[in-house]
Amino acid sequence: MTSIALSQGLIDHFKISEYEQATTPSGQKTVFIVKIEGVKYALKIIHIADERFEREVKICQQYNHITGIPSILKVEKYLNDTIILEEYIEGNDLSDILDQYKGDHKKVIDLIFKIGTILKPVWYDKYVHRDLKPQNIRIRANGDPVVLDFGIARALDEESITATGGQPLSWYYASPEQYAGQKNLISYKTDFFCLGIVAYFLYTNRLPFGNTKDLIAQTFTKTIIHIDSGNKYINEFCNGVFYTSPSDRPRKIETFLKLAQI
Amino acid sequence: MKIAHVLGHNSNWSIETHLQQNIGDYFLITAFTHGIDFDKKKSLKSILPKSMIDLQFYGKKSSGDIIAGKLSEFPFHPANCGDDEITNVYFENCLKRSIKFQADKGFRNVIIPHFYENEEVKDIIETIKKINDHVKKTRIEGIKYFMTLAFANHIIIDKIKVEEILFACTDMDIVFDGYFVTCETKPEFKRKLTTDIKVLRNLSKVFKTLKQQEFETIYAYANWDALVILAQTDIDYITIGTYENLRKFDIRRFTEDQSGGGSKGYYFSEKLLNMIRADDITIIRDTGNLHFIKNDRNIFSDIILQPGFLWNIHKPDVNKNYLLAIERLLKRIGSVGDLIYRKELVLNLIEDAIKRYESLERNYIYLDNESSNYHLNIWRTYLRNA
Repeated sequence: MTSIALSQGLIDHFKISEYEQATTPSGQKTVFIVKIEGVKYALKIIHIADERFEREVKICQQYNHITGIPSILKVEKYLNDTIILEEYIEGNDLSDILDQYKGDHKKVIDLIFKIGTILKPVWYDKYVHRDLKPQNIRIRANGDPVVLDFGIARALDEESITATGGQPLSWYYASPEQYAGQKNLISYKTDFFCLGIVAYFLYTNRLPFGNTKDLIAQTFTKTIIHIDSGNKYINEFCNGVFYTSPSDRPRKIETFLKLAQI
Repeated sequence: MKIAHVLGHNSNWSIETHLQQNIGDYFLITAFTHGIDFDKKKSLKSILPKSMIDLQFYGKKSSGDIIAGKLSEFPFHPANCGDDEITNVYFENCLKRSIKFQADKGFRNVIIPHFYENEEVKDIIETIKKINDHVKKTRIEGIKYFMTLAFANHIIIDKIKVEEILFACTDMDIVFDGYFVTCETKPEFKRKLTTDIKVLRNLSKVFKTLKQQEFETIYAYANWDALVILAQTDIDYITIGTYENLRKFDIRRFTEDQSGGGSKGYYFSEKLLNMIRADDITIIRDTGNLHFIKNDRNIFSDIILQPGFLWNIHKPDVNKNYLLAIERLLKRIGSVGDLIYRKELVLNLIEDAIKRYESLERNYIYLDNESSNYHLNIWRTYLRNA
């Protein structure tokens, strides 16, 4: 990881006593874990504060009261950058502790239910996360999940922020409509499908539709995708959301949550 | 599943079969034929509690020019639209008033009209969303609201367009109780049914998806290829109709004057799953092959298959034979709860019909055009792969 240092001016301004760099700096943002007055925070330095960034801030601030979504404490302009001071979530990235879920259907389903419960008000308000994957889920010490990175979340009632046709996606965990670039079919049901992939992956530590874009694309040409994880509960959940057509997936959030209960 | 008679021209025949032979459970009154005073008609009064009405907005303003139609009698019907009124607000008001009209008339199943949109899918979706918001605010306890989905042919053959519509219809915000689905199948010349597998596939998808999402479904202006759809999913109401224009949705009926024309009519055979031209009956009978096509336990069939029967499409028994035969088929299929067994039943009926056609040919009866087997192999192929 390329390391960069915080400027003394910024350290003084935010009264930072300790810090460590959390991510490789990108053109858009760099994240640090900082300590201010003895409390840890995530400090994000946003180099290009575009519409996507504003949307992430808006969503997180709107749901500040939900423990499963990081609270934003401060958004401030500093020189040419925008600084976000965000709640630091003690715990692990789900992607780092996959082995704890492998073969444990109860733990997997329970986690999916908790993520669904966190996102329930978000979905009701017509936002879609669109990038649910283990790397975007942090697990607190008590096992509760926190959903991160609403950077590509979409408000269905607003104009899309991405260029026509193209959509940001982590293709391992993408839904058929994301794969096909059908932006008009993106909805809360897209997140349902992606959580199906996450569930399958956690239980088996394998991807349900293969490891190549071609294999996945081939699967998504089928009307009905039927998977077998080797566990009936995981199968019931996954096959309840793995419909190529979004219109065939659960219509109501409660129906989805019911699927994620044993 | 309920069978609903479409009440159009000579609707008394349909009502008679209900009252005398117990055919059908429900009725769909067509505004085109019965007009604003439908509830003052003596023949309709007794069946009004078991009825719904299709106000048939399909043709919008063009419907106002049709001489035979009575759509202009409804003051809120877009048939009355003036040139200066063609705005979305005007049409939305027409829809809202049509909902109120049905509720005021005491209908428990309100059919929310929709237009036949030949252009953009987004226009269809926009109307659905707006009317959904209206129903959300104004719904009356005890009334079921069915939104019309009138699939133009170029839409139903397009999987992506169908999915876009279904996507909107199955959103969590939707408050409709169900959908009133009709489809422009556009059969080829000298055919009564479509053989376009895209129509079968996508229309089946519509019904399967809506049912899976727990909506009630009405298949309106259905022809006997409803058997194929019913083989794969439950449908709450399927309409049956005497004349062809009540079994085949065609936008031209609502946009231009059409003459019914004269015809000797057709014999619907439960065994062949097809309509046989009246002229073909003579040779089938004369060669001793009538048993291959004859409907059993059907008094209307017995009458019209008698030697010397003067065939005419405007004779009640010719039409009643269809009503009895198709109701029996639909009810038999619909009564099988397990969809795997139900599909097998329909496939067996199709296989049997194909064998009967083959038997007729072995006996040198070669049926052509509408009477021929132009559809069964497509049905069989489709269902085996569905």
